[in-house]
Amino acid sequence: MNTKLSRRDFLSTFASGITCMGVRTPDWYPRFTFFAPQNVGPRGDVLVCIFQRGAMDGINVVIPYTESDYYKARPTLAIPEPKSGKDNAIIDLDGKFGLHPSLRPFKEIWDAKQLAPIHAAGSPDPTHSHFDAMDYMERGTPGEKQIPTGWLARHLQTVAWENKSPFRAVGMGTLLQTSLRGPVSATSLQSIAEFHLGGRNRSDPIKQFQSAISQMYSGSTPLDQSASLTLQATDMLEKINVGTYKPANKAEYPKGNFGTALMQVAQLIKAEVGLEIAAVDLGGWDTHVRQGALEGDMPDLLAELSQGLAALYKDLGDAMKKVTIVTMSEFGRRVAENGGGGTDHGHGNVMFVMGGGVNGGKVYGDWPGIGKDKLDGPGDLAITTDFRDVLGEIVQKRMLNDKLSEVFPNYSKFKMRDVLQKLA
Amino acid sequence: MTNLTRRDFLKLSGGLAATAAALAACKPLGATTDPPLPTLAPTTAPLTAIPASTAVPINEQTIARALRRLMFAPKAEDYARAKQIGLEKFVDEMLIQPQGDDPDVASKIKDLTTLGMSPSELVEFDQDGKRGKPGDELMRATALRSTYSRYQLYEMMVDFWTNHFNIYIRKNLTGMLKTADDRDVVRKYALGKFYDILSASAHSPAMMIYLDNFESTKNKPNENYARELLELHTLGVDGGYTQQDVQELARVLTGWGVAGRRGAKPGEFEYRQNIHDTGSKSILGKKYENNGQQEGELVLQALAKHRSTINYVSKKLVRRFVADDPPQALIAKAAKTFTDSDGDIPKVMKTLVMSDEFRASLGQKFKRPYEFIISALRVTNAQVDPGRALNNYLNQMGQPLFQWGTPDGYPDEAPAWATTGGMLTRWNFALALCNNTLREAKVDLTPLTKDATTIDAAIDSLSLAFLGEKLPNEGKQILTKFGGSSNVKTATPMLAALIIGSPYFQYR
Repeated sequence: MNTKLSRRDFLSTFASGITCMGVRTPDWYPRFTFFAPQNVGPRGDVLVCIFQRGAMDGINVVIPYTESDYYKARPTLAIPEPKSGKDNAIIDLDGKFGLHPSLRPFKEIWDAKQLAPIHAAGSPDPTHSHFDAMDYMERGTPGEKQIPTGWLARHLQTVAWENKSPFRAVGMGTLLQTSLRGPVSATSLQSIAEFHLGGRNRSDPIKQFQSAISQMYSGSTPLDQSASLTLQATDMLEKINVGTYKPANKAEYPKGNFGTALMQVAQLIKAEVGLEIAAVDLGGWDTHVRQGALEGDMPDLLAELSQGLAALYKDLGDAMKKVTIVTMSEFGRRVAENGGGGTDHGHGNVMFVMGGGVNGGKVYGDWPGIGKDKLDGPGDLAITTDFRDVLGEIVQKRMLNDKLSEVFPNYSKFKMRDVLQKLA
Repeated sequence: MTNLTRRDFLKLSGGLAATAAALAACKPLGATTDPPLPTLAPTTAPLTAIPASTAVPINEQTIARALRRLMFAPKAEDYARAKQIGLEKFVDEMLIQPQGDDPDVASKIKDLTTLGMSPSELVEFDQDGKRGKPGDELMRATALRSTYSRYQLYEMMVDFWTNHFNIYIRKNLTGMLKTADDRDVVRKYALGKFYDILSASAHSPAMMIYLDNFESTKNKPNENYARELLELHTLGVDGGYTQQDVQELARVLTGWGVAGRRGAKPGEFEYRQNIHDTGSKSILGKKYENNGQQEGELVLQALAKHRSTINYVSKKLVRRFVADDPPQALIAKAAKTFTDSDGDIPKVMKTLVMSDEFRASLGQKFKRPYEFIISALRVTNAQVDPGRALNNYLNQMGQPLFQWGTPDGYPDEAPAWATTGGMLTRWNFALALCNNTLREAKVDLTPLTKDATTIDAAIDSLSLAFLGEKLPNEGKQILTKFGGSSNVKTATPMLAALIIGSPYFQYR
């Protein structure tokens, strides 16, 4: 083999190339030790963006229990009224809406006024296709198939500050979320502990291998950028002690991919590696059969969702002041249950916003009702809040990006509901 | 804001494009004229418009690249035979539906007894401690077939239809019944007529369970299968159907399901008249009067030759075998063949492969993880014993076999796969494979470089074995420098790992 060349040596040997190729310069190094780089404006919140794939049944999440139509439409799926006083009763929020009992961990956050549901929210496009609807929502362009980039990627591209950290935007999981696809590369990350090249301690041959790989991917195509980001990320993670993470404040993340992903988000936030956006998925919401009222697939998912987010909230403690969490799902489900103890594809749904900057403890949105004459399409909850209104408010007030017309092209009628306070 | 087209939007993001252009100037690998391999393709679909060029001739180089596109990986004998008989004849041979497994493969899978079982036998495994066996054997057989079968284009088509009619094997009985679906639907008709595979899928117990149709009754029809049949299997989401059509089709398909435990043949497809909705229905403007199971059969026939289906399936084939952003002109050509041949898939494939667009696109389709892994195993002549460890690599890259949860199948566009986690796993796999540290795949690379006396010659030998052609100079220089003054035998594993980890090997 050739003489030992560390990656750093390599970089200085080929310095002329580096100046020309900004992407290779490890200029995120300084930011490893302090969060705010000099000469740039203040950064916004870290955004944790949860996508509930499969279409969550929002009617059984934030439940309009005062409407008799709810109980009529759902002979087997309805949840007992709060006043029944049972353990399995709806958790009342405001005398009109209540949480599914599997969302009990949310109650504390609601009481602390850091949780806000926005009901009858969603995408104005009428599609009942999971794939089109997810795509529209993640690209932030309902009904429009020509714009290839995701809304989060466009935010990163247009926001005022620079941040070259490989962990600026992270998609938890193996495939990168569509919302993060675009000109600003994002990292897909399944496991911090396993994110290394050729074993935990890099031998010299591995270092040389890495150096050769980095030369082969030193162009400017998206693949080159992705490869380059990968190498930077492995370098950086080598410096974080990943083996011994203990959540703070006795937070307990649920077992499984979702809880693990959220714990790693907490880890990245605390390590101050420059994280601005984390996208996390929770799938399995396509409950056409045996959805379950109090026990079953959907109650289990609700428990996983609320335990996971409550653990993150606890674990981050004070840091939640500068973290915003938002949840979304491609569409809701039909108001009336079907013959298989499940629900078919619907339209309107509920989104949650959580964090230190949230005007919480209030259910937002104009409730259209679920009486037969109020329904949309084949019997769906109508939409009165465009999901872009919610996301746009977060982008503007918490992520400090005023270029809403670039983050959400072709949309100008933002109706901000003051779900959030402007980050000072 | 006025309407923005994709192109306008890209312009709007023009700062980035300008940067990219500036960077290209010092790109060590690109910017060469007529390199042995094409300049690395951009990985975002919208930027890879394929020029309608007639300038790409059929020569040895295009033949080699065509083979890399159409097979998980060609072997030396494939290159040789294709060069001898010509691309067209070689393709004709590859487009014949094989009768049974390749003899080499047959001997490797002969002990996997569940592969030949009927649905009734397969559902017998629905007991604690036994459930995993059919699925495990199917995954094992699939990896062995992809790796060792000489019918490589057939195996690629099997992969295509597996995704087109995707079934997730972690949903209760599908884990067992997918074995029958793989054999009686996908493999049986992979190089057949579209109607036959569509109809077989609609009568597949695994599909009936996966998309809930077995629970759809006249009183409470379940729309899940009906919707995906229109959206994903036939017309495509923009194919011109309505929510009303979905609901009507769900009614047509009430009664299509799977025999229960008490029946004579549990687990087999079964039509139950007593839960069928006998009212009249209207789908895509055509009325269907009460006619039992036959209503559904008639709809399947109509769907198989519907204009939208032909365009949609043609487009998916073009995306799979030509480009992420399928050239419209080629879709039209494929659709014409589809129409003229009554959905004869080999004929459609032949149209694709012999097109100018196909040749212009060679070397620019990013391998999905499964293609990457199988191609690496093939070019290194690995002795493969596929099980959980190999599937775990696929899992880390997001493409474990038969485990895509939603019915749309694994994505077929580079941005989904060219991710940080994905690239890292590719490099780690290349390192482990070539250094022989994998439990389930053993290699001996020394024969590949046995005649090479210099590092340069070793790099050439490995490139020819792995890619069918030599590396371009830019890539080769990096490897030469890496090899330095070490001897060929010592350097071979890491040089091999570098080629497999290089951009060149990521494309087909």
